[in-house]
Amino acid sequence: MSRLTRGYRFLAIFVAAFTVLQLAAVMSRYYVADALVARPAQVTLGIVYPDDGVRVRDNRIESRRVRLNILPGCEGTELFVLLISAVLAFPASWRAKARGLAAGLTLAFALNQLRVVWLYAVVRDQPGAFELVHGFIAPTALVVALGAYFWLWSGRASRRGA
Amino acid sequence: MTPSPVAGRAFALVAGYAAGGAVAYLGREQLLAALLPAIGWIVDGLLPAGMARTGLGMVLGDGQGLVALDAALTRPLQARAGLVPAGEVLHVTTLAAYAVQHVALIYAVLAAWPVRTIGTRAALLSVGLPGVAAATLLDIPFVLAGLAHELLLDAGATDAASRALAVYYEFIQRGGRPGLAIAVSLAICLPFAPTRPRKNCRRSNK
Repeated sequence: MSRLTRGYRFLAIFVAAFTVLQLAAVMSRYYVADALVARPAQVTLGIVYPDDGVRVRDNRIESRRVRLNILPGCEGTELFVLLISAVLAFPASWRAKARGLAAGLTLAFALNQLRVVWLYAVVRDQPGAFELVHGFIAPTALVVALGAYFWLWSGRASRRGA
Repeated sequence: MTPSPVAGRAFALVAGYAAGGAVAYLGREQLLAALLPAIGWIVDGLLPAGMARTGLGMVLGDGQGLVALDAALTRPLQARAGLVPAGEVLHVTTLAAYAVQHVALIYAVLAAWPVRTIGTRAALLSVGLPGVAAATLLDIPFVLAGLAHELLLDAGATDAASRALAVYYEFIQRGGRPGLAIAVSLAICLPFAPTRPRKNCRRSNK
């Protein structure tokens, strides 16, 4: 199979897997923000800002100084879906894929927590920068960080498979 | 010790993102202003039956830049709560920053994609512009019109609204946006993939 054919094969599988997983997340209406983002963020924010008295109610993160609502679309689930789709689409052994997903999903979870802490810190100390961070930097920077991880993993998986 | 090509590409990804993102963020109003007519044409074709666009532009809301669409009913609409008269206006918005996300993500991939010559890189970056336009036009107008469809569905006007467009709106709005940008960027890059030089083949005519 030529490199170009492999490239188009990757693109086709990536698009198909991403569409199916993302549609499943959207159609199920299961709101994952509470379990995946908000509750772990209570622990993370409690460590970073112990004096703020951070509490979580459903998808709301509240403290004496900040109130953050994690709305549908702001949970960061796309990071997980993107990574799963890309790793599934890449031609590597199932063992390598399992390793790539284990490390990558852990990284995605950590990045998502970092995003919540970052947004909390912005609302707390620099509210004027909220649009820049919430609408632009946070959603894309995390995708790029995960993309860099995927590029490194796929390079390694290719060398091992060669 | 020299850095590996893969690590170099990962670095180029981050650098391309930072450069493309900074340029796009600073020029976001010009970018959206240039695309606004096309966004309007697409929205016109996607709005629910019996609705017409009365306004489309950029506004400020809660300190954030928004793309706002006003669409009015051209005929009475049957909703769950009763008949809604013609002339009622629906106001829907989406964040202007979403358009910038496509620029940042597409140019991150274009900057990191392996090519052999500077000329190829320049060609790749040039093709990125229509790629950004395509990704933005598959996003913003569909989100605005899709939100209108979803609001009508929620109001019980199921005959006038399209469930498929409402689902596509949710698909993009709840995380599909980076997937769209990455798919577009890969579709741009693949024809530029460097081919391995062929080994000389010896043909024997025995």
